[in-house]
Amino acid sequence: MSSAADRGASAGLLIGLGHAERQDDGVGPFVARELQHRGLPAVVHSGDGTALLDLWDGQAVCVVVDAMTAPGAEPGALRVFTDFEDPGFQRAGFVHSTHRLGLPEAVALGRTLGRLPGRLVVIGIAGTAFGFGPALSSPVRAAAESLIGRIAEGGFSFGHGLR
Amino acid sequence: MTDKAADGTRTIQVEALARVEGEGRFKVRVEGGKVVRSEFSIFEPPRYFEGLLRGRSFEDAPDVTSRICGICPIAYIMGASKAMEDALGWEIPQPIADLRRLIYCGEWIQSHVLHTHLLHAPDFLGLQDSMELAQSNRSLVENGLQAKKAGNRLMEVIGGRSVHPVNTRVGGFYRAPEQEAIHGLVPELEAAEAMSIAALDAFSGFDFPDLEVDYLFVALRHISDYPITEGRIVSSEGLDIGVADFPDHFEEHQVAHSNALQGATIDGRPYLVGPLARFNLNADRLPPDILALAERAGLAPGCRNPFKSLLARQVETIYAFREAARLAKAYQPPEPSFVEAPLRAGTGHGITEAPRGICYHRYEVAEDGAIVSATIVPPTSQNQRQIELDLIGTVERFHNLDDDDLQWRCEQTIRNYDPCISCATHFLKLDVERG
Repeated sequence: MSSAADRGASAGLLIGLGHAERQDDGVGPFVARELQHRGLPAVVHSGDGTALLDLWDGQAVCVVVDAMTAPGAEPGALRVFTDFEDPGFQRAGFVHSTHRLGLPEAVALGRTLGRLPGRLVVIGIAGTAFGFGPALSSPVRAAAESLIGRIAEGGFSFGHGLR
Repeated sequence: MTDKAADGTRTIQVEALARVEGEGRFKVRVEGGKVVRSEFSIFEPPRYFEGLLRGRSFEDAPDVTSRICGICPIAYIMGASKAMEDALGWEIPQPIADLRRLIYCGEWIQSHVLHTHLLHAPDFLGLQDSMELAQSNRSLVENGLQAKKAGNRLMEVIGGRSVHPVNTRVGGFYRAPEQEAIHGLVPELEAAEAMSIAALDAFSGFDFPDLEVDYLFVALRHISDYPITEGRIVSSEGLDIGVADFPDHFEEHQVAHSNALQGATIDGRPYLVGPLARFNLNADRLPPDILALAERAGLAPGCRNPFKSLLARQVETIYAFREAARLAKAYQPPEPSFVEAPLRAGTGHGITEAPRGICYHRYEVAEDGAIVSATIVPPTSQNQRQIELDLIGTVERFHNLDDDDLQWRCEQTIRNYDPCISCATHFLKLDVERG
């Protein structure tokens, strides 16, 4: 069975959002870098919503991986959003800053302005530690590694199968 | 949340103010239309940057202090660099100074456009946020996103990335950008200036609340240019001093209800820094056609209406695009891209005009370049007492509004400052008690 990298994986872009030095907030960058090492189109991004619009504009498929605070969710729990009217998306806790626009605002603006990729999949991983340092918590790291394997194998069409 | 007590006292409480950075609270008690008690509290924890710098190399100050803020890192990089160069006696050649001014234009654009188009404009239209604004005025939001993108590009091409640039250093730049890369920015900058003029026209139609405040304006003033990276400190009362004299005329003090130090003049008076102060003290430094645009939009020199800070920011955005295009057209890579000279012990001062106003740095360095002491006075600290006074003025001026409308007006008042509370330490929980 060929991997997505073997097939060229030209059908999308993965954006890993977060800060690599704030523990579980670094899960998006961790996933993106691991996929870069496998030759997949992935970038690390700080999460500024206005810049996200430029980054995903024109992409056929875009997968965004970000840590979420997700009150009540088990650490490492993974949620996949493709329906952005889903109230759960707003409650997931994709917090960027109190000043800049973040991911939820970028999605809302993108929908209004017609500036979303052809298909947008947002994967949230529930974090538990948001202190200083590069180390992911054990459950978040395990969730990230599982996700990396599934993306590397299945490319960017996997979003449908993850619910 | 609104509570009405049996004695007629009313409390309005806002748990968190949107569209400003950081966390804080404003409490006010109103009796007979007069504010009898008020507290503007910043409860974001202290961040200890000045202590963190002690013992580190002078070279670390720009990069470390840039982390104070993701919106205005250039202000910290440039202020720290200039203070270090002052301490060490390094002279900066004009081509490097021009490149610094060019990247600083990028920061003004990024910061101002984000605030005017996406954070502050909704206040004037009765909208909750930029998403509602995009639905009602799509072109204004698209315009803002494109203008901000042009600012981001300036930061990326010169600084290496749009947030926390990495190509800057004490003495200049690690590497000078290629001439073609800078010249290639000109068409986008010129197009964005035209869009920004259209946005100023749109903003000029807003309904600006009628409020005049007797401000003491403080800003830099340069011999020929609108101030960004250079100038003497001037005020609307005739002060005209060198940068090194800042501590002799201004001070910070602690108040019990806030984690951010509050700035004041040495005789204890509040003052205002930022776009409205800069515009009023430097309107004659703007190109005449841009000043004419400001006046046509309803912003004339002498304006003391804090709500019109929106117009001042947009006028400065137009200027920043004009200035950036001028500098980009004339750009030739500085050779070398930075200067350095032997180390020496000394004390240096640096002030530049951050998007929110003057930002002061002072460092004492030892013979080996280690930092002995550091003092940083960011603009939101300087403005903090004046924000409090503006809120009192707003509550007294508009106390007949119902609670929801008064709360809205108070939040709008705070956003007049585009406060950067992470810089000041970090805003808004609002309590209004009516007796």
